[in-house]
Amino acid sequence: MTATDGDADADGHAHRIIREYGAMLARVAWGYADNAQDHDDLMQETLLAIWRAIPRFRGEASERTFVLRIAHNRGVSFALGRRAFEHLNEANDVPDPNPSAETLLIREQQQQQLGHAIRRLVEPQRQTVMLHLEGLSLREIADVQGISETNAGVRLSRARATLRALLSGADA
Amino acid sequence: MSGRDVSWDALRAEWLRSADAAGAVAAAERQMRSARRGALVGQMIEAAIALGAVAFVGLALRHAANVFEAGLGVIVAIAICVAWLRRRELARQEQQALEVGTMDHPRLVRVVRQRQARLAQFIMAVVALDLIFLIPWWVIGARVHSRRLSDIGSIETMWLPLLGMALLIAWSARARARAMHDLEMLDSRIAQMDAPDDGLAAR
Repeated sequence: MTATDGDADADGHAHRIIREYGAMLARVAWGYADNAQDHDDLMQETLLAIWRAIPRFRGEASERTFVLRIAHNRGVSFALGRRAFEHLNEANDVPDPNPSAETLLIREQQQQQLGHAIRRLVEPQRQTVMLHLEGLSLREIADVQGISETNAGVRLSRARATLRALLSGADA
Repeated sequence: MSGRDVSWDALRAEWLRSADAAGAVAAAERQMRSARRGALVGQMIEAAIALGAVAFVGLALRHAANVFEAGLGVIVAIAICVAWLRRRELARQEQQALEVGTMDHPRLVRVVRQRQARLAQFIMAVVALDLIFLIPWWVIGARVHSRRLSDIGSIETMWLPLLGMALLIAWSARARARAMHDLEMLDSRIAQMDAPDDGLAAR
């Protein structure tokens, strides 16, 4: 296979990954970026990292797990150079879902609260919660994080408790 | 939304709604194109800087006054190539560190950042060595060609390379500072990973 063939393969694979996981990757990026500009930068870095990693993907883990590992790891590296999270940027935090005024406003507020609460969690818990919200099983969460299933379960129950406390305003 | 009255399923639904699928996919396509274009331009600039620096040293080597100066020039040229290759290797290592479990990632990035900080120091040393090699060439060249500091020849062979070196020093200092900052942040991340009871992020 020539380098061009390899690039074409990686291109095709990358486009399929974008179609299948684009929305998921966008959600993960919101866990590490609290404004539209940072979100866009992080998405670019993540997609580039995935495109570069594709030739090495051998199917040891599921493709979703592989993509999520890269997305979260890129998010962690990205967040190193950014200020600590404080408040959500009111205008740019969440893309518009539907153009219905009152519903939209309430939904945006709820999404902002949820995003804010998730970003306030320490990284191990933040990752666990986001992976769980994406619908991953404990086995898959453990696989993404490289820990045992038992540890993933303990971390998830703590994370859920912390998140509930944050959302109820107890610790926020 | 209150944590007490909202079920986990409701939170999940809220979370999944936070990125509109069609919009996110279209944006991701654009972001991918932009990222690849940026990466390609970055690689080309990097290669141009490295090859330009080696070519300039090669040009100066043709007028080396003695064996010592020629030897120094060869060492500088080799050091530039080593720095360039090392930078590419560290970029490869950083990419590989993205593919491991998220709990192992900070430790691997830490190793890469330590190496990047050392590489930045190495580049600064190479620039200093380059100056030691080029200063006699500039002084003798100005005398032989009767050049003044404002002549076009002086601008091309001295001021522009000096500007390039100053920019490289500034870039290296910034890269080192960033690596040191990341190391500090990574230590706190690793402490979070190792903490038996992790909770809210430190602010």
